Amino acid sequence: MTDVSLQMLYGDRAKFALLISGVCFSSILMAQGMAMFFGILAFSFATLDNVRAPIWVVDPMVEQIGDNQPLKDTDVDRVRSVAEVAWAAPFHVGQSQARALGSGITKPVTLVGLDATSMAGAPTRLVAGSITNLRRANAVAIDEEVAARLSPDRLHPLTVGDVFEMNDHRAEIVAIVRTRQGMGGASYVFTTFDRARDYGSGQRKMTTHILAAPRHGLSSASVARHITTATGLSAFTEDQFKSKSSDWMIANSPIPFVVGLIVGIGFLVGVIVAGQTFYTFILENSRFLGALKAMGAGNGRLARMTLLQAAVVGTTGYGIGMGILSLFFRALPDGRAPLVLRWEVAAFVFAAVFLIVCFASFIGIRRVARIEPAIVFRS
Amino acid sequence: MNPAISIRDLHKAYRTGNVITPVLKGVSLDIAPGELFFITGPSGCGKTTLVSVLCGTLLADSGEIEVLNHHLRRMTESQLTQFRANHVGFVFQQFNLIPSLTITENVAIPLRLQHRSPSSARAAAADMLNRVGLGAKLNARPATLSGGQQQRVAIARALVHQPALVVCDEPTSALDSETGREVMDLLKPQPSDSPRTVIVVTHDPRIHHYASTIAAMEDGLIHQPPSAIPS
Ligand SMILES: Nc1ncnc2c1ncn2[C@@H]1O[C@H](COP(=O)(O)OP(=O)(O)OP(=O)(O)O)[C@@H](O)[C@H]1O
Ligand SMILES: [Mg+2]
Repeated sequence: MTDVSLQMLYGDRAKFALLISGVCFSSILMAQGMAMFFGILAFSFATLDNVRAPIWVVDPMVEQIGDNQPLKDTDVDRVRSVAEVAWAAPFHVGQSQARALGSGITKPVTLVGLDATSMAGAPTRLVAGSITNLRRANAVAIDEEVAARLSPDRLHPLTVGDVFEMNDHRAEIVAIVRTRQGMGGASYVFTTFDRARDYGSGQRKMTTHILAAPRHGLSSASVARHITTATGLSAFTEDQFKSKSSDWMIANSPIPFVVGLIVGIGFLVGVIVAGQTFYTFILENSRFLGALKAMGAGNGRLARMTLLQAAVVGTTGYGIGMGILSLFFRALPDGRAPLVLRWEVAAFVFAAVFLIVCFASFIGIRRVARIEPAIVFRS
Repeated sequence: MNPAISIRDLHKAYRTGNVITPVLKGVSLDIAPGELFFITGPSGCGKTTLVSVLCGTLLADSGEIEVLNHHLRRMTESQLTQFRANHVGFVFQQFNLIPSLTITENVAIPLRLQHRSPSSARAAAADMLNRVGLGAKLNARPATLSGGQQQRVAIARALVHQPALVVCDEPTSALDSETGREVMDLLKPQPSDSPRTVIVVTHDPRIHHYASTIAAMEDGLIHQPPSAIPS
């Protein structure tokens, strides 16, 4: 009787469309809420995305990637002296202001200082120019967004060879790179560790992080543990640092609450629209369901038919919703919108839609069970 | 011969909140196999209630009811469901055809409920629709048919699984007399068919001559003996 059940569902076009759009809208709300959560996380972890290193060493007080506690200059040597460490390099991340020469346009930037010898943590997505040229005097590599913002005309951004100023020091562009911008909207400027002192606020202790790598054949996690025991500093793998940072965000920022609200509303929309529409659908079909009952369809069989209808509504609505959302996300400029559609989001929304379907069919089945077969004789 | 239906002192009351409405007040009745049995009587006297009870869609409060050798009051709900699926065909006043299914699919339902395969059920349904004169409209939806055609579909659905009992509540009241006669011609037991007992509740005197027996019901009681009318 699956065909009969499905044809009853499709037969009522208006209600079928309403059911589908309820689930679809609810899926979109929930998924975009969670995608926003991961998107915002990705923005807050921009440094971890733009600078790749197997091991990050920080001050023991540091709780997350955005927290820049200066380290002692001697700490780099202490990390280097740990036997399992292949290399370790000082690293600086801080804030600065970039000022265009002619127009005087000023934009906040995130300033990264890289160890000039190893170039550890150099950006990987090069748009123009050359990263090794960073070793030249006054050389900087800037994100394409910085290049656009510093130009009076976004369509003609600064390019390799152009010059601007940071902290009254001349900066010559040797490379344009593509990076993820940070939470505050500041995009990234890369230079060497020593020059970062001039371009930045000129603090005494410049090392905010130490980047390191394990010796060949050793795991980053185990070497990070060795570093922690040997130096008393905190050492994390990339993934550990990311999850520590996201744990911190979940515990300390208002984002999870806001996102939780959106996801909760999405879920409620699904439950209410799908539940209510499904109930009306069953109610309006009472006569026919009663006739089926009179003709010898038991409650169990009708319950299975109802469950199938709800499941079809759920999967169709979910599929359309996620389809629309991923098309929309794909149309967004890469990395500029705080939306990340991860498989965990899709799985969570699927589970939520499953609950909605269970609820709707529970309501439906209860209603079906109460239909008296004798009603078919009543006009 | 054992009666197809045997009812003794049957009582049924409806309860709405605190109000109890007695409807069947001790009905006793025997119906022989193969009869085309008419039940008539004024509105509200309990005819629909009586046929609902004797086809197993409604439970009586007290009394004895044996239908096709089944003691309905001693059966569980799922046994009653099974009983209806196997032995009863229904024709309702409001045809109750599922609008989103074709008429063939509608007629196939009783067979599907007996776990016949979709294709063989469909073939048998098409065959049945041919016999009621709708062979040219097998893929039509109910809404595109006239009232008389819809009732013919309903009759095809009631007969397709060759039930031993067919109950019809006001099958012709929504139809003109010519169409009403066509419907009765289809309903009356045919020598070529498997034997069936047909119970018809009706107000319609135009079709009384089809009856093998007419029982008059009044205020929850059947006046026995029913007047026998030669067919
Ligand atoms: N589900 C119900 N709940 C309460 N009272 C009911 C219910 N069904 C029927 N009744 C009452 O029981 C009485 C008998 O109803 P029933 O439908 O059996 O009569 P009927 O002879 O078929 O009438 P009609 O010729 O108008 O169809 C009526 O008074 C009716 O109001
Ligand atoms: Mg009636």
